[in-house]
Amino acid sequence: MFLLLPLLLLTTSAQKLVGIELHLPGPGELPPELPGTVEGLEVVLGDSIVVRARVRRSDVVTSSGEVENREVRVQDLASLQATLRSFKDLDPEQRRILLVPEDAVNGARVIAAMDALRSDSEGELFPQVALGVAP
Amino acid sequence: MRRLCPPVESTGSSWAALAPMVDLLTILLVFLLKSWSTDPPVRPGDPDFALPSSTSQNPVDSIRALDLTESGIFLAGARVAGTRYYLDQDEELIQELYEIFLANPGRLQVRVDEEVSYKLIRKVLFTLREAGVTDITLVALSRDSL
Repeated sequence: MFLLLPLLLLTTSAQKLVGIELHLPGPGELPPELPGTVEGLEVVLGDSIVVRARVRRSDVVTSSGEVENREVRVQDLASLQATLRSFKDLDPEQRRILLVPEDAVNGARVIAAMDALRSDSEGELFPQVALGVAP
Repeated sequence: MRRLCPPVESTGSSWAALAPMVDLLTILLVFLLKSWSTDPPVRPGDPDFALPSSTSQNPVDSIRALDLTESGIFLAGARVAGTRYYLDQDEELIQELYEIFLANPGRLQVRVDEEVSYKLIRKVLFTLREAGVTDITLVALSRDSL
């Protein structure tokens, strides 16, 4: 232990870096979203947070099913995760989500939101986070 | 013959004092092993640069890094463009970056200062995609960092 401690103290870096993979597909490269109970899930990140999704009312997956557009407004990331968990419970197979930060949002908040979208305390939410542009 | 220094009786108290120190060292060892990292320190061109933190567990590879700060955009420590102009203008393509990466696309780390606005991040990502760079890793500080 008396050897290992100085060795670790000498070789350890104060900064442990982690990476968040981003794949930027070219035009037409993005595979189409698989049909499911929850589709078109997107989160608009600004002063408040807006979650939008199209939810099929029927469990039968058809291209012409009845679709309800849902919009939920939350104030913080914990409430966002609770909302997303309810969507995940509706469609556990869905893994894709679009994050649309407004221009004024800073980098730290974008990374924190990406973390919040990928998983919560109960487990995985939507690990495939795409970044979008606010209209 | 009388001894000048009488032998000190061993009462066991010195061993008792050593036990908490061993406990302390064990805790320190576990802490260091948990946060152990050989990542080289980030030395961007801007001294005010600060990485955001993330809960991600993916390690980062040693590949070329693009730093986005409030004062400029740096590639491998060298300033390649300013940010103020692109923050004020509606122009999406950052021409200086586009020319560099069009000639040399490949994997890239993007290290974003925590205070940089998404408007700049968006323009940089757009420029990289247009130049043919599609494999990008956003770098952040692990929450386990010291």
